[in-house]
Amino acid sequence: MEVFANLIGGLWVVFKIVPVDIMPGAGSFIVPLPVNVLLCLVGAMIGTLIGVLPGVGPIATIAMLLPITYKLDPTGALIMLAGIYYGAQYGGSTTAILVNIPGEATSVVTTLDGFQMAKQGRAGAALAIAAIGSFFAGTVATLVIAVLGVPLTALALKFGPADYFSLMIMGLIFAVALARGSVLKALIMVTLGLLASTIGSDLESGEQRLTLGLLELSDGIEFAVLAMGIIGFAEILRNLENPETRDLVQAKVTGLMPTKQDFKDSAMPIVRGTIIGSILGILPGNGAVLGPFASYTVEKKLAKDPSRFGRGAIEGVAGPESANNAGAQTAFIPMLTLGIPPNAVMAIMIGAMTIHGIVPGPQIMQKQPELFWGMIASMWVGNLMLLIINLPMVGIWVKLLQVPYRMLFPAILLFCCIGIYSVNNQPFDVLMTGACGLFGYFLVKNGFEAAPLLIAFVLGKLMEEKLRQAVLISRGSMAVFIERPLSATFLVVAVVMLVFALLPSIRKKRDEVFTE
Amino acid sequence: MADNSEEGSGLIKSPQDFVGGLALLAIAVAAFIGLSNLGSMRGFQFGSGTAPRLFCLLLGALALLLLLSSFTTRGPKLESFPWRGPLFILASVAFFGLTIRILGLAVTGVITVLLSGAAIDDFRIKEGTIFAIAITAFCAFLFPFALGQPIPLWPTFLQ
Repeated sequence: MEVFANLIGGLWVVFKIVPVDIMPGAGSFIVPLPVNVLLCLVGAMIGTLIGVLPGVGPIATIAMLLPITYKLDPTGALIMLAGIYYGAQYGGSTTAILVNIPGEATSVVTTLDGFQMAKQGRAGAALAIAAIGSFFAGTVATLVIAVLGVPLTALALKFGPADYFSLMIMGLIFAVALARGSVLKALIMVTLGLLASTIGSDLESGEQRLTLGLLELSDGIEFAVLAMGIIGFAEILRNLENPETRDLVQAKVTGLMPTKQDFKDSAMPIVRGTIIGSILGILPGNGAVLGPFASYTVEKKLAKDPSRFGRGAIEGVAGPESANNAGAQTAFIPMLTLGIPPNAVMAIMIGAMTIHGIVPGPQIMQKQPELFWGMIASMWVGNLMLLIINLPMVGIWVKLLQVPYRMLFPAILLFCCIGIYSVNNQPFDVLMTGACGLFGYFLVKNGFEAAPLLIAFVLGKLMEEKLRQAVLISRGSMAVFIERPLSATFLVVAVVMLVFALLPSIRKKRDEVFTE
Repeated sequence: MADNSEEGSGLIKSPQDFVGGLALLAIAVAAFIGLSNLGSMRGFQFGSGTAPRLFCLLLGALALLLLLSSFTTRGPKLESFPWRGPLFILASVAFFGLTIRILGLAVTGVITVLLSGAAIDDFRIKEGTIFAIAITAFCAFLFPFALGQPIPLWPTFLQ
């Protein structure tokens, strides 16, 4: 019952009407507006937009929009950023079904049967089932977050510094194990991220560390600068290499309503996909990406006639689509309750919180209940809006696919420059972002993934602090990390996970999952 | 997975790992040197340099491991580095950073968009210019006006 009381409190935050100055640049013009729900809508729309546009991912977009949210209040800012994230899941599946392009990594599986359905003239049914499945998954995931939030937070508040340190180690190892490509390279990215997080003034002594004598670096590398450079700009540079090969298939979408049989066929896959996605999403590391693959495999195994899969089986759309949305949302659980970002998007969310002066971790729920429950309730509201708005707008989204990248990237670049500049009104930040972009490009070119770096960067400062505290409390003994039961458990899980990731047979399987 | 024809041969079997390992090893060494004047452990208390040095050593060790593995494990060849994209993109970003305070968004914005647009081979100057002006006008409305960001709009010498 408490869960529902909390969620209703959250809904109240989402629909709260606040007087806003809508034209701060041109005198004052104050209007009462339900700001949070509008931001939720804007976020969900931007998310869908970038989900539709190939070559513009949610990570880069959220990184790019981060500076703009500085002026908003933290609850509104996070509601909008969250909206972008799950909106992108919807957009990604739209293009997967209509034009066989997975807008996002999580909708790769949807192309298999979704596009086949579209070819058979059943695009409408596929889109509708994907949206309904996503909405159902979103609703369940919202409840899962609300139910798990309280006990997990209570648990996390009992953590000592050593436990916390080990938990973060475990989170990082999961991120490494579930990253694409070489485990060693992902580990290297993690340590590089940790090292980068130490740049700036030392918390205790105030000494300058690795700042190269630059005054601008005395507060450390600005998170938005690093994220936008190493992910956003690097992505643009990467995209420029591949000349556009988009077939502009104009699929006619007719008959949005699925048949009764469609509903019957999809009901169980949606439920199963939701469960699979929810569980995988909670895992630290990018579990949400695995959800759709797992769901597709399960549906194919359970089907009476597996040969239908790949030829337009509606179960192959319903299951994975539900799984990806559920996973995208339950990924918020480790971030909100423990302060551990399971993927790069969550790392950016944590960055956004830090910028607004909120310390990520279990104390959020106690100190900022408005933010915590408001954000969770907004996800459900956002999913509902996406369900209602998206289907009628499919035509517009398809049109948007025709915007050529050569017009897109200069605009994105200008947005980024303005955004970065306005964080601190520092031209230095813009130059630094450029440098980070070049470095990010170098990393991509040599098979390094930037996500673990970003996650480690976000956790770095806290890890150093907890390590210092733990060692101080234990009077210099490193044994404290294995003597405390919680800490020891986390470390054991981390080691097991790392060993598994390094085992050749499992590595092969993992590669198969990612290349399938 | 890359097929065999794309893999390195000869002494260095995985060129990407070699280059990446070397670069990151260099970063670790440089950072370690840069940290040399920072405090170390005092009793049970961490010095300001303790944790960064720890991360440095770890990074160095892992990078070395990657470097060594590039001699034994086969991996993909180095990708070609096209110069045009990065050059124009970085030039436009640098231009923005260096001139925004002097020229203001109205001028800097247009040139930034044009410069970055030139990053692709089939850049069309006429279409590009119109687009650059339009997008700058949009940003000039959105950022300083609607969002109230304190970004200079016009060149300083015009004010």
